[in-house]
Amino acid sequence: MSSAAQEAAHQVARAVSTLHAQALAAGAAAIADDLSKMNNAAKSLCRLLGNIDERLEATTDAEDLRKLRHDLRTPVNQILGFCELLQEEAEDTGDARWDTALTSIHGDTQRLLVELNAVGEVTGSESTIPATGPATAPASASASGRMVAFKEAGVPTVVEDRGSLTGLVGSGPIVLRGEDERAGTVLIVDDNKANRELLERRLRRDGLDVLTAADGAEALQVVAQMSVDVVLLDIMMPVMNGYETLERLKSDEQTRHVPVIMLTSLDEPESITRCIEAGAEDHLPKPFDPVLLRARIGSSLERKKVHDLERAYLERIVAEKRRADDLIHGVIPIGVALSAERDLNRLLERVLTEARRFCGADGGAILLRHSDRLEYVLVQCASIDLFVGGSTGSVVDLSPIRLGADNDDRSPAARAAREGAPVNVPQVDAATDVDARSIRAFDEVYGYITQSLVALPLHEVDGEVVGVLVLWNATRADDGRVVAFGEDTIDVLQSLSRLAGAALDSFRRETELRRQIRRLEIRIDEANRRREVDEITETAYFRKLRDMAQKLRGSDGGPTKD
Amino acid sequence: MARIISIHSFRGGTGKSNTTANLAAYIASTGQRVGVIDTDIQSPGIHVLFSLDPSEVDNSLNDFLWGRCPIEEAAYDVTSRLGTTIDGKLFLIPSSLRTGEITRVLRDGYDVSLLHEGLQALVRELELDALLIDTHPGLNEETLLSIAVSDALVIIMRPDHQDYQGTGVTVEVAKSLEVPKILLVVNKTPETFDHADVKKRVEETYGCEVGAVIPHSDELMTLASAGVFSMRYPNAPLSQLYRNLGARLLSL
Repeated sequence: MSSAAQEAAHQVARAVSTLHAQALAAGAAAIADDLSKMNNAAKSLCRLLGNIDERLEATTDAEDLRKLRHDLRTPVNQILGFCELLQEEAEDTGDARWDTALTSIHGDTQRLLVELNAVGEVTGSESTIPATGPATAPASASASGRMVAFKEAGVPTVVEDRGSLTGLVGSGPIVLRGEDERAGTVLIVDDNKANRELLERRLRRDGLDVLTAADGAEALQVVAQMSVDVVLLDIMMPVMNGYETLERLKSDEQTRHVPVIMLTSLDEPESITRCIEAGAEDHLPKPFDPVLLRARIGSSLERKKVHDLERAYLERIVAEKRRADDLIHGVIPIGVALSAERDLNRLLERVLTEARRFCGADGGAILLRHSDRLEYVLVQCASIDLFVGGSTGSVVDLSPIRLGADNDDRSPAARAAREGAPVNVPQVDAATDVDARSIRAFDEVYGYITQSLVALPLHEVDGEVVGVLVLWNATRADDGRVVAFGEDTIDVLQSLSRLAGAALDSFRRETELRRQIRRLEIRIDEANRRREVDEITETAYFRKLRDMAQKLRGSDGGPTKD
Repeated sequence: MARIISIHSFRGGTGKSNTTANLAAYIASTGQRVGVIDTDIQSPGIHVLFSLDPSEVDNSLNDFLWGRCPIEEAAYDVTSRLGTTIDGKLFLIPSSLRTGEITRVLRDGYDVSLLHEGLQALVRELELDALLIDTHPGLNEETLLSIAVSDALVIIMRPDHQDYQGTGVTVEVAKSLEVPKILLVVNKTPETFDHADVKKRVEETYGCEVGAVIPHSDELMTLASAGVFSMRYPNAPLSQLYRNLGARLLSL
């Protein structure tokens, strides 16, 4: 058995070497380069087969035999892989010069693989290779020429029906998203550099982004740091093998959703079972059939994409629920409380305090509009213990912001008032669309550093902006870090601002109404009054009374005590 | 010389009797001898504030007017019924509380000139320093007589359209009768009004001094109907308003 394998290996090695020399002579540098790698693989195989009988004799257990077979198959898989890649590339470029030789080498190598699969079987220590199963279905009658060759050679086939696969994913590049989007990022984990390179070449040809790792430990690092859509994971590797890597990936909440395709050998059905049980989404038998590789990666990418979409929807739902909760439990009760407030200062303080509490802002201010300017009426900043304006009685020592038509003040508050919409400044020191001078002036006066800021208009019911609510340095509750005001937060703050504006509006209307009510209007019909008085005073009785009264108040002095 | 002070309002329900009782009690508390005569014969009510039970009333103003008794015999000393001890004396001359007698007055009337004699007799017999007349609302013969003989007239009004015109007529008539002192009291003023503004506007409208702007309060009115408020609750802001009004009246 081994001598036949040796002979077949030498035959392949000679053919590769010859073709390599021809390519060099023809100046086909790129092809020569790949043929050189095939050459190295063939030589390494010949070396391994040189002392195969001694090694077989020294092999005592199944694990050693598995390792030996793995070592033998590795160069064969590389020769097959490069061979197929070169054929595909030649097809793309229309260069038919090497096709015959490559087809011949490919066929010889396939036959060699059959010989190698038989290596060690006489020992009876290896389980037989299953001819059926999810990844080992026999090729159908509609298979391509190459597949037919496999079948004719009686090779336990490793590919599924090519026709149906072609229908599924086609033979072109994997394109799962729009042209501008990336197709996906695949992480190849294999300790064999040539294997990694071969796979990388193939996947890049399919339009995929590729990352590589030489062992499991390195793979875990890459997955933790980069966005990976699919992991192609070899089993036999130093440092950390494929099983352990798989287990770690699937037990970590952050990485368990990343699909893993195990790179397996045909003669290791128990390892396939083990991997699937451990959470692997799929497996790919070596040597890789390009169509099968494409199909499995495509399917895993699709799964990852659906998962990512699901997760994005879920996050959106959670965010929406939080927003609804904030509105129901936070903003609406505040609005109700605001509408009941009868003191302007307390109303303003409540608006600012609640808004700050809601978004964790370290500071904030309310500016009210007086014709063409915004005047600060209230400023609070917790970390520097600044509370001025409002009911504190202290005056806010900050210049008003002018809003005249000829004025193009681009400070956030001025813009919010003018545009009637929130102005978000996620990073003050990098802001380009607002004028940050007023912010810096505040920082200078109070020895403060404003990092993030949002300005929200306070609208009256009829839409007119009556003031601006400014909040700065949103602070995260868990670690106290200053962050930008999130869009969701701003949405809720806008609702709060609307309620505050309405409360301010109704407060003003009520004040005016009270002022009007307080003015007592006395209207008397003068003509009627005159007539009524005359009716009384022009009677004889009245004249008599008047005479008497005059007499009483006259010299006779009226009633006396004595 | 005794002061005769009429407390009048053009319409009923202005709080006239309450104001009269509180003013009388205040003046008495300054050590004076004070008489209060209820000339609202058609609907007497002030006796309730002095806790005078109808069964205690043998003679009333009606008996005097019909020649049944001298007026001093219709006077009742209610000083001890104020709920507190005061230096002066307070007499009440009630109208008859018997419905039959009220009906008779409405039907037959009485000789108004007798009322004048009665007032003079009261001052004389009870040796009064001040006599307060709780008048019938509106302007009829006896009201005009009360106003005519008064040294001072207190006109109670509410900040309400139904009182504005009549108050204007009363003020004009009182001026025509040359009443030496006229004070307006704005009673039952809603809390929403600015009281200083009310005082200013009423004074401008009627050309008379406003002695007090008294707020409306359901709670206070409930308490007030059970006695002379300023005597029972001397620390309440309303009591201070009554004292100020009384002091102003005495200073005129």
